Amino acid sequence: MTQFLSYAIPGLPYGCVFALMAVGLVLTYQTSGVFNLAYGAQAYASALIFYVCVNAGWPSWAAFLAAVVVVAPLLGLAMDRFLYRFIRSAPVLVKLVSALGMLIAIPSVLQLIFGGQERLAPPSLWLPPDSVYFHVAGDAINGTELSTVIVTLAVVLLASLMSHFTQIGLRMRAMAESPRMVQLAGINSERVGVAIWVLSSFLAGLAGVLLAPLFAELQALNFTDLLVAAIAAAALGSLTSLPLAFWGGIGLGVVQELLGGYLPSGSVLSSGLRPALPFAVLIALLLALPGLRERWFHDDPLAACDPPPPQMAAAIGGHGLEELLRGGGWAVLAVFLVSCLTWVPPNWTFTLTQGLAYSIIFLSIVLLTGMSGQISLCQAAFAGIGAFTCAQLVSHFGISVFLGILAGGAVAAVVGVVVAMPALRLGGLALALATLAFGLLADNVGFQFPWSGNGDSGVNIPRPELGSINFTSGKAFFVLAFVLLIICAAIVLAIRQGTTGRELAAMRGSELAAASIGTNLAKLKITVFAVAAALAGVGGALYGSLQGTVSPNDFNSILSLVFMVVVVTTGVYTVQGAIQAGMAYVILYQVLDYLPSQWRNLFPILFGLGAVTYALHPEGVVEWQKRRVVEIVVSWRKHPEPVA
Amino acid sequence: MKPVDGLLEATAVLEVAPEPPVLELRDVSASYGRFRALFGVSLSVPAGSVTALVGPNGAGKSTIARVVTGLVPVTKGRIFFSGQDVTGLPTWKLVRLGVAHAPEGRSVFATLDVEDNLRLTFIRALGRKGTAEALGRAFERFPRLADRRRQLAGTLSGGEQRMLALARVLAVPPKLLVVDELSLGLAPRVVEDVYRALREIRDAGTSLLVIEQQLPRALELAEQVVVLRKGKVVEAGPVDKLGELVRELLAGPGESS
Repeated sequence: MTQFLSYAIPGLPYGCVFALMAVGLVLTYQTSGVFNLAYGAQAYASALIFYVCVNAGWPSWAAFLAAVVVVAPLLGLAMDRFLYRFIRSAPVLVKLVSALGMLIAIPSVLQLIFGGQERLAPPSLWLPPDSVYFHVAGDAINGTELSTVIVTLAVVLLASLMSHFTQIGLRMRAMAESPRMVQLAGINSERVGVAIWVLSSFLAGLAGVLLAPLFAELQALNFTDLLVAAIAAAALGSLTSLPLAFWGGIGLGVVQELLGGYLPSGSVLSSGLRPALPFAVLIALLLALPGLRERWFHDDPLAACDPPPPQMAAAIGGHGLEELLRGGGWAVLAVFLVSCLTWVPPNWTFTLTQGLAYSIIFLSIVLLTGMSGQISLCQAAFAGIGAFTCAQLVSHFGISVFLGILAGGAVAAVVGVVVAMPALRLGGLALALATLAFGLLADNVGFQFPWSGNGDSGVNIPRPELGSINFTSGKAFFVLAFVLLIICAAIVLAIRQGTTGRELAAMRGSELAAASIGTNLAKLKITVFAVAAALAGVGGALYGSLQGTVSPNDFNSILSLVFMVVVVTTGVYTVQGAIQAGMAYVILYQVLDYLPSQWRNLFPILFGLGAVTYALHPEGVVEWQKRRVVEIVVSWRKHPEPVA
Repeated sequence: MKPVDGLLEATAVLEVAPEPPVLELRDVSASYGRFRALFGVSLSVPAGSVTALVGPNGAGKSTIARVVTGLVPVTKGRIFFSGQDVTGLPTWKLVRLGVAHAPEGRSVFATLDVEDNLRLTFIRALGRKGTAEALGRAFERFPRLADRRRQLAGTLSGGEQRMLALARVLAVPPKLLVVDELSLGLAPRVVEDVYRALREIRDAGTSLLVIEQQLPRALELAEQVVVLRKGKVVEAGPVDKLGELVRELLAGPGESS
């Protein structure tokens, strides 16, 4: 028993932080219908500002006021007022992508402002971290741990009293169902909404400041892991119950430490299973709890008051526009190909070849999200699977690199099928969360073994050879990547134009309607997941072969999220969109490389904010602009003298 | 004599000067995104009367209900409530002025219990003291709800949910109640109950705008009728004059005109 306690008690502070975040997540999800993926970024923002203030010599209470009481609610409020408020009744995909954009953009904005240097030993909020207050079951309880537990319990107690015994609490609970019906009761729902965002953002800020000193260094990545742990805890409460979410968070923190204690230290299990626990729990819950799947969508009886989503620019374009776009596309392609083979300097050829590899990976997002309406947040993991499979097969069995790339695609497809199995039963938000957890699982655990990604040192993939042709030169490899991209694009186009494409479009429109006209949704989803995973796998393997050495860092879980926002910004509905995304991704990166290092943060900011425009321009803001420009050109051609 | 005459005339004018209609729509248009639903609709609901809004599916009946309560914005035209221009006011302000809306389908908070559903409205309108009293009256009037006061409203039957919605209205009588398809999906007997409650509400001094598919029911209760088709008013007037025409218009097979 003493041993049990001695393992369990260090988990309590973690559990408290998970619980705070879980409660805040459920609060806003329930009341605004937006699953706020940016919540982790909010926690990070407060932790960072607290750190900066304390290091500038502020007393910790003043820093707390600034970071948690002022900045955190303001940030949440700004997100609600300028973004989430407008998309409350939008499709799940739109809400998720917008929140994702914020999750990507916020930490970069902060690093642009405060600098991206290492921040060691984050300060404790209240009690000094070094002094030990008392011992429980042999555990020394230090100030950080004690203050975390006390503060959490006090805040949660207050919040639950408020929810049940005050008028604003009743109004908040009513908001969960329908803000419009709250208005019909004569209550200013906007004001209630503001109160909810202030409370929820305060909880995020508090969790961020409490969590920071539990790690040695303040890093944005820790807060994404925290987010997933909080989501898992919230899932324990079916994303609806605040008390269950709270106890889920506490339980998760404790079990995590218990596993660390009882599993033999140094073994793969303890190094792998312990950090993977939240992700594993989340996936298991999504699969096991039937209620969770049914409650994902928000059932607002007044939803019919909303206008239908905006029309896509693609549907507006006339006949001449389509021709011009297609002809222009081929012309640009030809110029691009010839340029790369003649005058473009080698380092840029390398960059553009990277772009081709990324384009293949991005095609998988076009297929999955644009064409089928499924949101997957683990495409980088599939790319990684492709690359590492290729590397291991080539180095251990000496097969040709070509075969290795294909095998990478095939293995990724198999894993894709395994991931698609839950996708059959999940949809929308649940699928997004399951794939997010899978991506983190692959990144933190799966890719760390010598037989897979080999951790930080990575694996080698040589350049391929075909008979006497050797693809080691930059230009030869460029041609190879180009041909592979054309083949992959042709596959996606063939799927789109065939029966499968029609069925996918039907499924994107309405799964229920598609099923009712006899579409086999299960088969369709498995097929599309497998093909998408294969595309990502081939792209990843090609990228690996180009680089020579790849490590899990090249395919980390954050990249999956970045990929998503990049493609959504440039155009998620078309094959050209994927290629634009691939090129924009590498070119922008290369250009920013010439600037001072801090400006590199512009990259996630641009695409993060780009994703936010998804609600207005589902075809991608870049695609929209492109069409607008071409449309103007077309109208000039038709009317040589435009009328003012 | 003259001045007296003038005075008499003036009083006569005062007496005749009609009380402004409780609701007036002047040339109102509305749309959902690109889809226009109302094309220049003008209608009025005289104070203290019941007006029925009838028309085929997709004619814009529910849209009128939503426009009146500010749930759907007006793109053109103006809305007057008791003579006051209320165009563009948010829903909650309209409700405080005295408009109530029982929307189509479920109109209670499914995840709150019966008492909390009532409490939400009562506390705002009556304060803490008035709430306890109003709760007592509501449960007296609807004993079935009293049995289920701690039950989640989502688990009530369709009829009980309608009763709950009406109990909210009865306790705090509004000036105007907009009723959207209250009888939809209810057993005939329950519809009977609903209409009895509606009459009670009318007798308490509330004007009603009733949207109803079951024409005979609507015409039984209403004094005025407005016929709507494809987002436009095609007929309007007192029921006794229009009743026949309305029946022909809507029940006849040549509906497509």
